[in-house]
Amino acid sequence: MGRPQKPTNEGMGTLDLLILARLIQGAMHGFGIADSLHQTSDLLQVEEGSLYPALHRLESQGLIESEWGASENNRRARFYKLTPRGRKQITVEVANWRRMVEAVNRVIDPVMP
Amino acid sequence: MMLKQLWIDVRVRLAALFKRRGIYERTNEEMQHHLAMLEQRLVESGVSLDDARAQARREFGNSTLITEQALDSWRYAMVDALVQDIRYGLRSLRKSPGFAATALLSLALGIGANTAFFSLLDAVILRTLPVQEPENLVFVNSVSATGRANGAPPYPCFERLRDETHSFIGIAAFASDDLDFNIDGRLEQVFGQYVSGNYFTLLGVKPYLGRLLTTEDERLDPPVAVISYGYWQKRFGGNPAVIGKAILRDSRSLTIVGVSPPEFLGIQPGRSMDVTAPITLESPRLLQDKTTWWLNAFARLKPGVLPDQARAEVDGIFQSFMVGVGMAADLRRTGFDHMELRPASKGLDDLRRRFSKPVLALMAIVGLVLLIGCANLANLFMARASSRRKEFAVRLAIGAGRGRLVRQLLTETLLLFSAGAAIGLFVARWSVDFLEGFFAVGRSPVHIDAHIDLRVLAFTAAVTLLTGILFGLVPALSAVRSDAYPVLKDSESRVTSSRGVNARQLLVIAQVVFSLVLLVAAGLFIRTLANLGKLDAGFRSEHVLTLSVQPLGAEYRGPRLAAVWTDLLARVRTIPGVRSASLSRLTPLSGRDSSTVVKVSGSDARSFQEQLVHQDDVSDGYFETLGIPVLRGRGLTPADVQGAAQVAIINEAAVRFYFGNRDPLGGTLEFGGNSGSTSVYQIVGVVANVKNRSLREEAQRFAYVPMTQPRNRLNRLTLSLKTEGDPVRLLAAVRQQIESLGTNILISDILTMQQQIDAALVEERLMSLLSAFFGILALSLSAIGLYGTLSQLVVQRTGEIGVRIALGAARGDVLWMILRRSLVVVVLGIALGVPAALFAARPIETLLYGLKPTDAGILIFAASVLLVVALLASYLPARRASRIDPIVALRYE
Repeated sequence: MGRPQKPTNEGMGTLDLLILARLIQGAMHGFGIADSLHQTSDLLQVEEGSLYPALHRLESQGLIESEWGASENNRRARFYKLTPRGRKQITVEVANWRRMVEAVNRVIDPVMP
Repeated sequence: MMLKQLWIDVRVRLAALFKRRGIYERTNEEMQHHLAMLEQRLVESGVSLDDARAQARREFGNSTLITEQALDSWRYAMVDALVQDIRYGLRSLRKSPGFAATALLSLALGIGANTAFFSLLDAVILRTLPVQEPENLVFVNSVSATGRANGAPPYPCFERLRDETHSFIGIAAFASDDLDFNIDGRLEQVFGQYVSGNYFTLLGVKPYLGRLLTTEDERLDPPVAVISYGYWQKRFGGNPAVIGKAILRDSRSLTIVGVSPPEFLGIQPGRSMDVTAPITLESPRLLQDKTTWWLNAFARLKPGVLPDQARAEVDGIFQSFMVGVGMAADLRRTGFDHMELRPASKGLDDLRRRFSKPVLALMAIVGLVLLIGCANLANLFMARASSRRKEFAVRLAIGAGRGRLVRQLLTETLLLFSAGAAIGLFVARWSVDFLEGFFAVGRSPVHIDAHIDLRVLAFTAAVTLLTGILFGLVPALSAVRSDAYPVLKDSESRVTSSRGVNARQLLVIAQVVFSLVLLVAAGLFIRTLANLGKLDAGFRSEHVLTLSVQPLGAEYRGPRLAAVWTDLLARVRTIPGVRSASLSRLTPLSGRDSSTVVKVSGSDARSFQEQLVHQDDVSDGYFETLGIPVLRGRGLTPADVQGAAQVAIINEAAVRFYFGNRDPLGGTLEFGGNSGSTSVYQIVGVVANVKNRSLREEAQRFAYVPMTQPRNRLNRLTLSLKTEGDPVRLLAAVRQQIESLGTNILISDILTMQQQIDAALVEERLMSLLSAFFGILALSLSAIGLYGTLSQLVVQRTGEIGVRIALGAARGDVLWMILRRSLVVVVLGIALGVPAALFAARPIETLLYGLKPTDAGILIFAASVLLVVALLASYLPARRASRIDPIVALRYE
């Protein structure tokens, strides 16, 4: 298939990519997403709050959906999960990301020992 | 999968749209949860509660800003895309004002004309009466053996139907005519109707003011009348004090008791009723008459009663009534055979019968014009789209969605179409006024109530959206279909996608086909009008004025009446400028007609139909005034007086029918009926045939007798004047002479003969005028389309042509190369257009006169006009191509 998948208008930011990737493992609330991002890598430091505009944006684009549920300690929390479109999108985005990393590496490797 | 995603999208959008507050609260709650969790973890790791709270807030960030951003992401998705599209669309339209102006103009004309004609179509064909449940109303008609409707049976039969039927909620009678009233001491003629008392209640019409008629009013105790809203406004300036006012009819005083509502104009579309009064005001003689058909009747079916049951019931009563009448069998077959019920939801069908075909034909014409205009637009859009290919390719390459681009192009298209429709509504308003004015001429002007209402607006919106999406989507799709890569790689001049050009050529071919159809139609209608104009109507209309005269006072009854007429004629003839003057019961094309049964000497005509002739009572000078040639024998002279030998003049048609090759002079006519002393008249002359009811009719058999030896009551005659110069200038003098005879003489229907011819030709004049207008419009639109396509082509092939010229191609060759291209398209269009025109002309055959829809001359003429205009439109771009400077062209490359 020569035809590329439909890209989004803005191009996908790193944070969006990370959120979508996290949600592949299942539904999660905002705090949980932030937490798992912190735990996986200290490099990926996000201001906790900036997660929410990103979540809302992804939802308004129809990539994720949300509903109220109970968190581990029985508090009311908003749980996010991927929509079918989001699931498709993340595979495309991950592939793009990998290609880009590879391309960057190919440029860097010969010159930076 | 797809559906699920769609559902999510819809839910999300709707939620965002209706629950902005909800989103705000939700964000707050989410953040509270997040902060609480952070705090909890910090406390668990040993931080004091206060410190934990502060630290959590620090880590979380600016919560107000975050809420704002979260809300923003929704706002963006909802409206921003649309606003962006519209703004971008406006900007790109502003950048090409010529394109926008052409598009707007053709759309405004196309949509405006379609709206106007749809409102006409609605008024003439579609609209139902503004009454309660019109679908349950039926007309109760007696019909001929072949099913031709002939109104309702005489009043005594109507009374039996009213009293004896069980199938109806009610049955009402009405009869309309010009009625004269004395209002505030002045005689006036209005269009009025006599109705049975249940007329309004059966229709379910509510009064606008006062009350409407009831069955009680039939007792005429006291006599009352209802006026229409229009008449109330026109005559009484909408003064509510009109209720209780007395108006005089035949020296009988009627009290106005109410005003009917504005939307109700009676049940005869095309005529608007002024005054409605109880039917019992008619003369008792007519009400008891069992042989005169003067009524119409409608009924409302009871729920659950089948029309067939009702018909059988009505027919039974009618048949038993007819036994008592004793009408000849062959006469009964001609219109009095049996009863039928016809749907009455749209009122009487006079208007529909007369104008349905012309209006439908016009609707088709303006529909085609709109299509031609839209084809132009599609063409222009495609041309634009292909010159914007690079822009689209770049946008696609940097990540714009195809759907978004299509939506953007569609938005642009619909913007144009909406603006076109908005201007079109003004065009429509104006056209409707023009059309209404066009119909409202002559003795009984046709009032077409073609207003622009919600239905019409809905039609306009539907047409706009449909054509907009259709003609916007195709170019939009083709613009974004192509892959970005080759477009970006190649330089623009070589990107002459054969596909795009072919689609555009198809559009031009379609335009040529439609234009040819319209031009042929225009040719046919113009020739029809010309044929009818050239037609020998049998009379001369130049400088002839006719006016209807009715001496109404009691002082004119009996023998005085004949003296008034003699006096009147003598006085009018003294007016300087009057070349001749005459009186007659009928005049040609007046819409009035009268016929009688006659026995002709030596003729074997026996049946009622064969014995029927049209008959007029005329004064001496009648044939001279109207320029009707006397072919044999003599006309009428002042010597043909009462008491002298009774004489008659017949026309050629009557001679041919009754006498064949025999000599009619000296033969006799014996009129049927029982009026007058002796009913035998000797034929002393033969006159030419005259078109009486319409210009298209076959010559009718006519017999004229002197009004001094009359066959009919002469209470209303038409005065005809032949004058030097414009007859209208003498009107004041004529009026003065007539009024000097006495008071209470009503003068009405003042019309020149030419006005009556115009009124008789309303359909033909309308068709030829409008088909010519739209034919020319179509031609210009097609020329613009052709010009646009070729110009675009020349621009695209500039490089190639430059190379050709550089390599030695002659300028003439280049010119011919471009011209040939358009010639192929046009010739192809004409080749397809000829059969299309022949096919389209077949249904309008009955609208034509004196020529066949397959008229070769018109086809050839239309095709030649089209060819010449097309070549002219192609010449400019072709010449531009031939003047391309190869150096400039190649450098441009």
